[in-house]
Amino acid sequence: MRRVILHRLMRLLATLFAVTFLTFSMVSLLPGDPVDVILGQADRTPELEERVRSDLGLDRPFLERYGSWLGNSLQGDLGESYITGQEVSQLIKDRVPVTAQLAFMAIIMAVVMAVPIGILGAYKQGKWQDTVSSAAVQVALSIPNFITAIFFVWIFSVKLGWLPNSNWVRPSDGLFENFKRAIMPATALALTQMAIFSRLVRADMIATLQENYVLAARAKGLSDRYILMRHALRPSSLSLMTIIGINFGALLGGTVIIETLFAIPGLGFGLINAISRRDILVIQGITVFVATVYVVINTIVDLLYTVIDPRIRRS
Amino acid sequence: MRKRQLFKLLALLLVFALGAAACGSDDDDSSNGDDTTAGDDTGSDDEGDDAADEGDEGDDAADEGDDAAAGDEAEGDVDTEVEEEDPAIERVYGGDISVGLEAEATSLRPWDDTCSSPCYNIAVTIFDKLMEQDVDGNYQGWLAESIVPNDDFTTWTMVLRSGVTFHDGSDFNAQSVADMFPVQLTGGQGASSAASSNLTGVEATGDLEVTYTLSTTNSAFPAFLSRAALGLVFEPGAAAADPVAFSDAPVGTGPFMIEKRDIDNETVVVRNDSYWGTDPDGNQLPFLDSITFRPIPDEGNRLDALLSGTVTAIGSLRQGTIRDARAEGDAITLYEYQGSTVGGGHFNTLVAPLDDVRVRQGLNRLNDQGTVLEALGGTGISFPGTQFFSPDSPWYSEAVAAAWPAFDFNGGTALLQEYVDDPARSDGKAVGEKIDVELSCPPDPTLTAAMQVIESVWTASELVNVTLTSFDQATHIGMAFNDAHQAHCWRFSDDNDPSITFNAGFAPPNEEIAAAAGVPGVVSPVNWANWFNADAFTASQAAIQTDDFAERKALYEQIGLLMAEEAPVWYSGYTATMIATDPALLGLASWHVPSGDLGSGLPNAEGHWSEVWLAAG
Repeated sequence: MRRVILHRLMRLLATLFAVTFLTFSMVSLLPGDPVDVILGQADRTPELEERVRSDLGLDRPFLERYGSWLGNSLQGDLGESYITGQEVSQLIKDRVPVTAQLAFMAIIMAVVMAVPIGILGAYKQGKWQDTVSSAAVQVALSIPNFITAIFFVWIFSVKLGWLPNSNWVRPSDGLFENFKRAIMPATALALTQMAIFSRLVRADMIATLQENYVLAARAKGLSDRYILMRHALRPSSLSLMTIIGINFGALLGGTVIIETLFAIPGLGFGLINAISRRDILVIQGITVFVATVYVVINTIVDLLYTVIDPRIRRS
Repeated sequence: MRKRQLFKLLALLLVFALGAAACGSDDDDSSNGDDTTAGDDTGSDDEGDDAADEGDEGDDAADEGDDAAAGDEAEGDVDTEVEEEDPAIERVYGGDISVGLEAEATSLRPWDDTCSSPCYNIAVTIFDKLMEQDVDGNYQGWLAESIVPNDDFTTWTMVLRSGVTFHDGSDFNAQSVADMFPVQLTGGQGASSAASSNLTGVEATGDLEVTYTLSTTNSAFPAFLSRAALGLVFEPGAAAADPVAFSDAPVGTGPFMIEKRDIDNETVVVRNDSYWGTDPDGNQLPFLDSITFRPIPDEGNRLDALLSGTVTAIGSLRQGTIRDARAEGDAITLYEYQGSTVGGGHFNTLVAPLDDVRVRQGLNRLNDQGTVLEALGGTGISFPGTQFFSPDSPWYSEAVAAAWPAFDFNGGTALLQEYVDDPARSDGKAVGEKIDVELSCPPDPTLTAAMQVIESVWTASELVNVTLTSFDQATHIGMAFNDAHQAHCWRFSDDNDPSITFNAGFAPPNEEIAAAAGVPGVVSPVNWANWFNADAFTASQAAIQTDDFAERKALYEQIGLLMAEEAPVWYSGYTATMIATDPALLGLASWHVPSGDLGSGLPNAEGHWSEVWLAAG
């Protein structure tokens, strides 16, 4: 086990190195200049441009800048935003809880909806329950989450006036108010996830239900519910675990549109703003953070396999 | 088997029905779908650099032969008239409001950061300006009581208002203004504005007297003191001590004080009980207890936030949002404004074939403004541009409007044909070969549609190969700075003194041209079209040698006529903007300068919030 963890850690470091280098390269290669963003369309002299560039350290060669950033990052210093002067690590710290809350709520809602739908589809395979649930899942999968979100806003904010469609409130400023603002974006995110998860559960469950030990359990006269929950669900949830892990990581960096739509100050909103401002160190910081979380979660998921499935542990 | 097929069919129908319900739209919902994509662009629009994005200008004024006559407003156009709020309505103290802005004000350091619409909305609650524009476009004192030039406009003596204190309790006086200057010079915007205005020194020559020294004549200098970089008054000690921290806790003398700054979420300002200002009736300002500003980048969602009561007011620079807001009728109050900001684009006149006036004139005549404005998204919102001044502006010139090349397909084609058939054509191509033009705009859906209109007309001449390109806002602006552009979408001018746009805009674009013009060292990177005309440059310089309005107007008219002749730019329409509010919010448009005159209204959706109150009940 220790060897596995060590191996994973090595992979994590290599991945992060590649991610940081590639991100730094790509952002540096982007057309557009942070100096233009800072000076805007103000009249300017070459001296002023040079001064701003020098203040930001942009006059140094690429590798020197990257090396300096990497060295500082290893000591926990991700630099400062070119535009606002904020520390990038603080900026990430402020935003992670917001996106994590959305991602967590979305995943929980998705799992709660997906597992029963998946089990039902598998158990009633080919019957009308399966057909209807599959169709509903297909609809959820087909509609982009921002369309769903707009639809929710129209109904729950504009027409019914039940939920605010912006004005994010942090949990520390009021749990209920926070929940009111999080529920629409989280549900919009959850529907797509639910569709993916339920299809996965259904497919895995159908395969599991063909296994000999399930047939043996049936032959022993155990109830369907018992078989489904105790014998079939656990082995059928390996793929689900993997995809939950992957999608949670993806949601941390993939809520850009939803966060922008609802003006939620999370990582996605921060990232899109940083890109438009050419705020290289913020882009770099958020990307590295998301990549790290992504790889770490996947490592944890891999390790959890051994806990969930005794066959893997034994092998 | 038949039962299963029936269920499959039902399931299929369910898929289509749900899909249609979710994706379709009715009249009420029409804004949502449109504006989601627009919101992405807005999200990237940040605050500060929106001049390149001309997606929100003008609409339908050119509606099929119904072009607004020069100087007239077409029916349905934005009414920019600023009216006094009914004095009989009771002014009410108290209340908290929330304002949805199109982007975050990334930082609140006036000397360092670009400050456009969202930033201004917040900034003018915290910081007072030294000068401000009144309803007629004149500059009046705000924190300044008077400002007087010497004979050649190289020295300006300002007397400040007494009894003003900063939010931290310290006194505002002449030394404060003098101490601001070194801080201003450390910032990009401050240094740039100092250079543009020829400002070299600021000295406290009395307790409340400040003397500004310029390197050369500038009769329009007070205009710079009404703008963010040199005009917003901040506490210099706090700013110099920690500029980064200052952005989160700015200290000014304004009607509100910062209470909370959570970037990309909310900026909360609360009443400054010690504020010096009163309204014309002597009521102590401000009326409101607090204002929360929130960036809501998505246009549709911002309007929905107002309709649902999530916010009390919203601003928008998008004509599509104005159109949608108008459709809401009395449910909201609209304050629309159409100023001198005009959309269109510029030709890089240093690059062949755009270095030839026949090509620029030809392409301008092939600019079907009416259809372009339609494609930009609306009906009856603004009218076609012909110059850097809107028909409401005192600087507007009928002569320039008449001289500007109107849409004339045959005329334009003939000019292009002349170039194409010229053996000495500047692009080096063989006689008869089509010219190549790259037309570039930021990736806004309405802009793309408008550019496709232009492309189709240019292409229809059978003399132009058009390549449409699209880059994000920062890149688009960077291309113009680096002269890596040809035909480039842009938004020009504003309601400030024309010298601010014209002097930098028409100075020599590079050292070689400057030397040839006999003004070595006078180079402007913001001469976007790289168009240099010695007469226009001379006129722009002459216009800051005098404060005689008629004389100055004649000089700017001369520049306008030269532009009409040489066509370094093309126009779509004037930019319409709006602030929409809950009907209970009153007094927004009728803010006053301290003399009691009406202020300049709400250009660029920039609200002045000190005289705003919530109606009783």
